[in-house]
Amino acid sequence: MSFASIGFLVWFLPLVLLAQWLLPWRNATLLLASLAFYAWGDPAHLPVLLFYIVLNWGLGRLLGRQPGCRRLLLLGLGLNLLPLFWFKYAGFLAGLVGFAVVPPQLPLGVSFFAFQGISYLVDIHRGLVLPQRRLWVFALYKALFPLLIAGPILRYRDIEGRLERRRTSLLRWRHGMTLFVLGLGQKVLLANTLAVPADQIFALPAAQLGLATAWLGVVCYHLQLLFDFSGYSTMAIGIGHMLGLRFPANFDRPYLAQSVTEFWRRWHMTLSAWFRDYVYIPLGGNRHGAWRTAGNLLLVYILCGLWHGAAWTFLLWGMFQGALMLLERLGFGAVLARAWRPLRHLYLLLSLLVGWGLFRSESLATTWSMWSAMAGLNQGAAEPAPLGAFLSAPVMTALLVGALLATQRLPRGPGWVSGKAGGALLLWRDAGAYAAVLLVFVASLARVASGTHNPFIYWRF
Amino acid sequence: MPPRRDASRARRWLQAGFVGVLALLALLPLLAQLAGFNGWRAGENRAQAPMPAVPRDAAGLRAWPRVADAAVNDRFGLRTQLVSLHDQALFRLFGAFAVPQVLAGPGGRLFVSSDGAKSLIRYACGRGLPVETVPDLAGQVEALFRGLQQRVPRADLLLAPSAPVLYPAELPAWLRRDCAAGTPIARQVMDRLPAEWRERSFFPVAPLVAPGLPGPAIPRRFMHWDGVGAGRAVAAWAEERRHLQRRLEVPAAWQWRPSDLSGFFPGLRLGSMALEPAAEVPGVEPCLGWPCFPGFADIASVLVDVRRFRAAQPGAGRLLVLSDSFGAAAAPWLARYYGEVWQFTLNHAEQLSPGQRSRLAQALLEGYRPDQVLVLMMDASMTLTLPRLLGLLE
Repeated sequence: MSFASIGFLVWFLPLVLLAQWLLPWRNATLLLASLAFYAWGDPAHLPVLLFYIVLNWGLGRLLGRQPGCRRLLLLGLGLNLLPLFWFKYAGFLAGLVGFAVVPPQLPLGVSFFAFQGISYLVDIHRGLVLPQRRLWVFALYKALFPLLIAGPILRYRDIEGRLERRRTSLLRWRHGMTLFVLGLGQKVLLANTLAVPADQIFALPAAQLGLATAWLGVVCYHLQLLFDFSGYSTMAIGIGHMLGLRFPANFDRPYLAQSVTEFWRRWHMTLSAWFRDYVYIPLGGNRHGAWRTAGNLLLVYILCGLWHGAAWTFLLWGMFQGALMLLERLGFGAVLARAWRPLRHLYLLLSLLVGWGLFRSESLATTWSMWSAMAGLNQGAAEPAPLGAFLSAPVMTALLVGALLATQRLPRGPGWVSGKAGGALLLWRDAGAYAAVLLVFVASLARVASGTHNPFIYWRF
Repeated sequence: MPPRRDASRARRWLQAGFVGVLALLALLPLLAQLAGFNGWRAGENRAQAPMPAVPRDAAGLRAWPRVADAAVNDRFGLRTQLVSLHDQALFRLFGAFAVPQVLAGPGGRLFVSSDGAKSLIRYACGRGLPVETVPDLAGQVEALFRGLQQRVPRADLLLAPSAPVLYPAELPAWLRRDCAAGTPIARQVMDRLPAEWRERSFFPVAPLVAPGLPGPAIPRRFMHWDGVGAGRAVAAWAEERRHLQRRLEVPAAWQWRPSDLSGFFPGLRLGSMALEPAAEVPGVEPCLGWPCFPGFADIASVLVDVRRFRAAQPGAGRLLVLSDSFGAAAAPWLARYYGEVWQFTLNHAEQLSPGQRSRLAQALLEGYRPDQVLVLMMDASMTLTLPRLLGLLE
């Protein structure tokens, strides 16, 4: 179930929040609602979630009794990764060695289950957390519906002890609702609008892919991806506040970064931190010389690429990111730091846009067409598709608003409407901000509703 | 109380008000649905998604969320109001439509296409068609003529030009070049026909854009032609091609009509002035719908859009019009030349069983025994309408 669907917005979320408010068994209802939310995607995949819950709870208890047992930890890591490999990578790997295997249908959120499980077991092994004794509390942590599908990746240590003592307040509700609406607006009004030209352009045959069209496609995708992912994370964090939970931030205006290294500190921060803490540092990090550091860095970004999907495009995209990070570490970063600020930003944007050309493509052939067109070298583009076909007024508005929002330093956090101004001024500013949020909510709901309107045309023309 | 404390209290109230209003807004669709205000528009021209049944096996259980989602999407509270609000906002702010099927030109003329611009360029402007399309269509037209020739004295084909063909300059700028580079599909098909059938085929572009017409052949906000276009096309075919004499006049008046595309943008009241033939024409007995055909009312009721005009004109012949939805506006004007006109829109012909199709053909061709059959369809819908017609003759 998507957050931006009628079923979720009109039925699921209001009823769950009402139940949280009215019923005494708050955690039990939240657990049941979370399991129902997951089963809605495909009931056949519910056992995968239950497997991860029982596996990690059980192994956590065992590790708690034998904290130093490395074999138990390795067994836990292996068992966490096994379903992930089977569902996500078996088909790809079999294809590499020449077997045609129909890959199984990927259960939603399986990467998140595995990563949460690994972080839980490793943290117990490191003595950072105590194993959870009660299965239902652990189940609630694993199954929390706001985080089930797209994160942020919540580590158990970040929520330890809080699940049993969830508290809400008027301030928290206001903050949660505001974040949810702003996330919904990002997803529905911006990302979904920009997805249309991005999808159309990436689906164009090479003969219609001209220089301007290709650049428009990657720019649309650049903003779509940000607002889609960051919108989803923001909604999850907002729901968390309404449930009395605090989830970690996942995005920190990443397109304002001045280098690829800084970008990865601002983009999908919980994933970057997870790779740092559970892959890069255990591999030795930067403690074993330049070559080993370079290898570790490259490996982490290859894995990061593959985490996004089992395909050559993701693998090469990961390598590309790793190579840029390496380049910056090897001295280019220092040169960059002395460069004029707009130049640094231009470098980052170009790196990202070239990378998205790879990331978004269905195949390497599409990537090649896209890159050739972006470089003005697509000689086969005899009849490039006209820009006007993609640049409708709503798309142009979404591009403009998206570019502004992605590059402005907007106030964040619960105090976003506070300040040092006088009382009356603050009151008006609050009122304006609240009115804007209400407007975004109505516009987003109307947009989602419009998606259900499906007039059927009975002639092909 | 110091003013600062007052402001702080006011801000808390404002905060509470915001939470309350937003919560109320979020609950409104749910409350409206529980109160029975769930919107479903028949204008969507499709069946409403069914309510999910209790799953009886594993496959049913897996499919259940999908069925439930579709049912919820078609039934949630305030659906019609929210869709209307969205369409209005999109049109007022950007002059755009929520569905890809409708494109607006810079002058406000609407163009319709099933999947955005691609099929419009293909099936109206005739560019980028699969190589087999035109020969296939020409073959179907030929088969149609041969089939009709065996059963009626004469058959003609009238292809109604669509808006992109008549008004290419009113297309969105980015579409003009593509459309201009093509040859209308109707012309390509006619060029492939043997001479005898080509002579009986008519594609009246020039008459419909000729200066001196009282208005556009297709009103700006419409997909179909109105009295101007239908009347002129019919006159050109009957008087210039068939050399028929006009036996009576059909009075007509200008009226504002909501767009025939309104189902695509609920909430928006877009329309145009259209020339409408009078409902009552002296000397003509009109009859609309299946009750006009008691001998095969069960079949006519499936087709829905059927009509009959009888004129007290001794000696005038009988005309049968087999058409797509463009036939409806043409039929009253054809009554000027014939003693009796039957017009059948075949857009729902797929819903007829083979037996019903055979009975319908029997009733129309052998029972009614028309002197003339006029096959009338929009150029861009030939790929759909021709198979329906051939299905009737099988």
